[in-house]
Amino acid sequence: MISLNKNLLILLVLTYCYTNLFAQNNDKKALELKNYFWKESGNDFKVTEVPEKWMEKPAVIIARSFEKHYKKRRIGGLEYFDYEHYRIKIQSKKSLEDYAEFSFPESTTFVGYGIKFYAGYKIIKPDGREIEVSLDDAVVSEMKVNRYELNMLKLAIPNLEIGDIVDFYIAEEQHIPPVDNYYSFDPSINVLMATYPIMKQKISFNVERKCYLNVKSLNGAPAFVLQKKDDNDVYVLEDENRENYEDSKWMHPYLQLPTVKFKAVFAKGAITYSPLFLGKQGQLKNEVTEKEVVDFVNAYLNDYSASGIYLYKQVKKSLKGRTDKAEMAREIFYVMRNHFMIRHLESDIQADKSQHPSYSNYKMLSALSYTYSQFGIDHKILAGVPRNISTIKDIILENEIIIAIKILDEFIIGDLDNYTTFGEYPYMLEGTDVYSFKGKSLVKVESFPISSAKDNNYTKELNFTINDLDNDDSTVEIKNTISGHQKEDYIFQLVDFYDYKNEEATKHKMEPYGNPSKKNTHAKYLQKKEEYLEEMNENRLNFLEELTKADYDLEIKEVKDFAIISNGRHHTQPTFEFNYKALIEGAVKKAGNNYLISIGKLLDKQLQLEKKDLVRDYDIYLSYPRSYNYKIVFNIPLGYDIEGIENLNVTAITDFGGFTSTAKITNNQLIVKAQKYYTTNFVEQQNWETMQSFIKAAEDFNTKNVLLKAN
Amino acid sequence: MKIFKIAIVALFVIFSSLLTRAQKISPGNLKLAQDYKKQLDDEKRLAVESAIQYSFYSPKNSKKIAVEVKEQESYLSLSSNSDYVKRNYYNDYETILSYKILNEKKRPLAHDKVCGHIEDESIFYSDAKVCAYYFKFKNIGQVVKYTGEKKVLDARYLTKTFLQTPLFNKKRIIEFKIPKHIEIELLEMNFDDYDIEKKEDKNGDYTIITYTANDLKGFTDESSTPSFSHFAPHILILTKAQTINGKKENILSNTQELYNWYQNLKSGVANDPQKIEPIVQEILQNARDLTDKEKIELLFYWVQDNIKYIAFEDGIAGFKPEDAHTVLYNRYGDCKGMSNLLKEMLDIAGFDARLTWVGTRRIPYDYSIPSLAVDNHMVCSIMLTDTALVLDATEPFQHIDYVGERLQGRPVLIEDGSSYLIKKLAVENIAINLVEEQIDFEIDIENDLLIGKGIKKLNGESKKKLKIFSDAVGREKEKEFIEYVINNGDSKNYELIKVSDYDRKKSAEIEYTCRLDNKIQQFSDKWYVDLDASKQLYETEVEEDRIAPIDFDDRMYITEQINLTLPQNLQIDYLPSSINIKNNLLDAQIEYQLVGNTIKYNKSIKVLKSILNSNEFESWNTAIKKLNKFYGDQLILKNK
Repeated sequence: MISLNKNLLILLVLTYCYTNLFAQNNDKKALELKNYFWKESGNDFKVTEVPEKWMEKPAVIIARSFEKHYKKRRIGGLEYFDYEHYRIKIQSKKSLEDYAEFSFPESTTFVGYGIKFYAGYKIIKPDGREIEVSLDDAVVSEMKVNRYELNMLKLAIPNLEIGDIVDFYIAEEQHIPPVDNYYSFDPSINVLMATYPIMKQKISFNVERKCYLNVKSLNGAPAFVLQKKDDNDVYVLEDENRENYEDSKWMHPYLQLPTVKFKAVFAKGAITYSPLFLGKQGQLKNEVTEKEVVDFVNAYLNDYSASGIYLYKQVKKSLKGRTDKAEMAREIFYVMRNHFMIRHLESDIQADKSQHPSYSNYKMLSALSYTYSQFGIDHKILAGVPRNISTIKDIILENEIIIAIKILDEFIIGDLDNYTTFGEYPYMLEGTDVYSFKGKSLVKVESFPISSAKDNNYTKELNFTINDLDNDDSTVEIKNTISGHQKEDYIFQLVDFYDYKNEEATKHKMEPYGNPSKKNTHAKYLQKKEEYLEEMNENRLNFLEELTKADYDLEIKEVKDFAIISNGRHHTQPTFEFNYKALIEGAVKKAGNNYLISIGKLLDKQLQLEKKDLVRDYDIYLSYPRSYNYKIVFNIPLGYDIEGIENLNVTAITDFGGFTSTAKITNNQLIVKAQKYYTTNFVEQQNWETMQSFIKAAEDFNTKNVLLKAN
Repeated sequence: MKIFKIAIVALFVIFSSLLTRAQKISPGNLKLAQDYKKQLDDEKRLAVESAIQYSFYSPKNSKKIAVEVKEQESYLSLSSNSDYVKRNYYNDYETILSYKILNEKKRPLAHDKVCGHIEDESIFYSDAKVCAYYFKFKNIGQVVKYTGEKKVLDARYLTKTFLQTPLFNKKRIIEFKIPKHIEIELLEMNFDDYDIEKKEDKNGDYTIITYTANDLKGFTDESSTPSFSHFAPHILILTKAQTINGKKENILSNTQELYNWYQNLKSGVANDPQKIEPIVQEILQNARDLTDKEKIELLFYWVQDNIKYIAFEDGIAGFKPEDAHTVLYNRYGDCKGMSNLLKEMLDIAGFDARLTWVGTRRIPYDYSIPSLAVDNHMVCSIMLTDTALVLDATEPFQHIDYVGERLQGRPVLIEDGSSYLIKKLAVENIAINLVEEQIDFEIDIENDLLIGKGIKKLNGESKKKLKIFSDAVGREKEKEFIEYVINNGDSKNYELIKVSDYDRKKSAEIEYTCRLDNKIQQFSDKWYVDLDASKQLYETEVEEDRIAPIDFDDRMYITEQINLTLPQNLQIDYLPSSINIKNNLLDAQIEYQLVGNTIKYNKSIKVLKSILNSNEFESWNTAIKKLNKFYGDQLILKNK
């Protein structure tokens, strides 16, 4: 008993000492950091005046600083320090609201990670008084996810007024558990502009022991320079005088605004010789050569060689003796699609698993490349960077790369999923420079083709019938035909596995599911399938209803009779076609003794530019060239004539796109045909006004009426 | 961002724990689920039985009454692969003691658990917390049982319980177990449209009161509803008294005791007038010649303008005002802190100012009910010779002569030493919310344009909102914002000329010009003119299957006068007839008139109630259909 108490006492003392020591260390660190941010952060963080030109801005960022420190500890794991420091002049109620509350995460441990947060907040009054805000008053907003605590500390900032300067920091220190040979810290891409103008800003990286850093400054962002700090090499970017910016439509900020992207990794041993984009330890790397990209992609593809052997086995017999390489390439592709993404889907559905492909593009393209090689089908790998992220010459991160395969110098495939047909590829590479290569040979830079507006088409044929003129009750039958890149927005939601299962089974062997000979199992299978189909059909109809509501500025009472005409999953029939009916209100209005028919509203709700969109500072990046065709057939009610069809003839054509429409009456039907198209995926800012003409013409068309008059 | 990253990692952990093994489904449950599925088409699961029991008791060595809360729910899945999140609410006065989630074999069911504060953008900090238990049903017919125990440390805070839960309840039971020595009163609210059975049993030392409802739909998730207390069936729990050792101790048995409790909390407030006096002197330094009311206005508006409202709802702190000097220093406070500061400032200036409790329009109860559920807000009253002036410092830009729409018609409890006063705030004439617009149009026949010049005058709630949002967007974006609000977002066609400076006593005036295309269309020799670009209430019918009342926030009153000067060569072919709708919801008159060479379009619409009850939907829809037809009609012009 005595012994137990003694042990307990020792334990308690030790616990106390440890807790106390920890608290002291924590306090010591907090004090160190406070001094660091508020006494040693240099002259930029002492400024109190803002330039005259920014006096009317809601706030001005006098200075901001981001510091990142990556390090392998001598014993144990890795250290990652991420410090953010801001000094901001409050010049309006708006910014007063923005900075009247301050929140930051509470220190926590998480799956072996120790994450500590230190913060500080002070106010500098116009008369120079500095008031440090006590963080002791912060309230804890608790959140516990299973056993992990993710609390936030929240503080209402006292005594803050317009004209004050706020100076605050949040320092995160992560202790990462020991890793084997490689650890990648989160990559990041940052724009050097913000909602408020910036007087001075600094980004610095301190990379120590077995850590590697890739950094690139883009679009006029200054370069990083090497500085010595406490005997450490620190790479620093210093920048100043940046106006604020506001995001606008069709903008790619990472291509258009000064931007910095970076990534740090820890690597040791053999991994340092692997084809990752590693520079020299502790030194900044800002170029990745063509060879590095090619080696990296090849290594990645080779990693999946087993999948290639598997695919080759599946097609070896059936393709033996065949000579038409294009046909063979297609067949191999569809076998791959079936084996890797489709044949097991019924099992997945029965097990409530996701139907999204579980294999990476690298794995599937690797399998294709291997199999094509086995059959002597000429092909090469294309490696590029999505055009909203960067360009191939500015690449520094492995995960910027996406790949595709070009076969027989004619077909490109990539970005694979259950619905991809042979010849479909990621539109985000269109018009960009990509590396093209075959193994390690024939490496060159080529331009990825840009599809045409015709390739990416959405055609809608509407048959519009008024059921009751006085009660504004109408029906529209809508036939939709979608091709090219436009398909992907719809096909995922509207085409289900069971819509193409039988078709797929006629060409490929499917994994059997549900055995009619086993009564119990089979009954369960049927039950599950029935429920799945019921839910899927309900979800699909809901999606269609929401889609229709979003597409038309009309009251959608009901959508029904959905039918897939073509699922668009094969290159021989690549368009996705579906029909449905919508019951609508809002298209008929009685004016005097006649009726106004809002025929323009039967075109999709066209893009509406707001006043702020009319003047533009930046170039225009569209996703891809595309076109929309409309045919509206209005069945004129018996006993009525139509007036005003001349208003439906519109032509607005520019070099960058156009809108045209024509109307005629045939067999008591008003037939309106319209087309809107964007010819390119990029327009220079100077052409924005020209481009607006056809956008405006389409927008205007939405308001067009015809008059229905008793004859 | 940082916490977000962590949360993402956490989600992986969450999902990994949900890989549950399939359960065997009993044929009986499968059949039951299939039968329910036919009846309840939209439901993916239901509560076959849901019971909650409140047992009141007096803990030793405490003067408070505590409550043990036991909950049992039995869920039946009506489809495969469905899921459910059981939410278990708690706070500083209500602790979760235990819970279990079991499968049919009474074995623990794998589930995820997220616990923490309930985040609400409008509240900076509240002690309201929730534990959310997320679990999946793999198969139709699967049964999951939840049991939970909680303890309410002080029964005063247990103010009400709702019959409904988020799920459809086949059978819902609420039971109160009340010992003889404790006096509890239960008030049944919104029971009229429901079939709820009440049973009362005296069982030795206890009275057991049971409410049972069958086939009870879950809480509605419809938008724009008033608070559920307005329409959902619930029971108000009044903890009145307990008798200990033969001595009766009142808890909240009447309004006086409610007031006493508030006063008791207030006694802990230690305002330091010396720290407040300088600012009062500064504000009133040039006020020597002003009337009392003008001085009050100066102080009231200063608090409105300089103290930021930040809501704290934290246990006792949710009822106790912050010290006035602290609020002054912080430059922020919640309603109690702001009212306390204003009261102190007015006291210093020599006025008789009183703290005042009030329930906003979210609350359907009055002070005849002694409960903490009766109010949710504090204001400050000034006692004038013949009346009390009620000042809500949290309402930005509010005029002194009346309170905001959310307080109008509500009873207030005004401190009066050891007693209290109850008054009812006036429902102001709807005219204080008037939005008045005048537009003079000319026709540009060549270009099919209506060219106009207009002035829009905002009052009441619209005026306040204009100012609040203008401040929120900042000076740089103010013009863009105001052009956006002139006609519901059609900013492209409107050009702001001038907006008046904000003045609590005057309308906010927006002067503008506009060029409206697509409002004139020529068919043969006639021109169809759509004069009304705003069409208030157009197509605002209530959906047929809507259940819950609709909360409009404010009563609306708009007038619009549009003058169209006809070109020399045109004359009227057709003038739409006028419309007149008058019922207890809507008062609308719109008419066209030809006066000389000008067509005058006069519109006046009043929405007379801020909440539209479900039994008024039909009448509302009839009126709106009439309005839609009128708006669809157009003025027709022809050549002379």
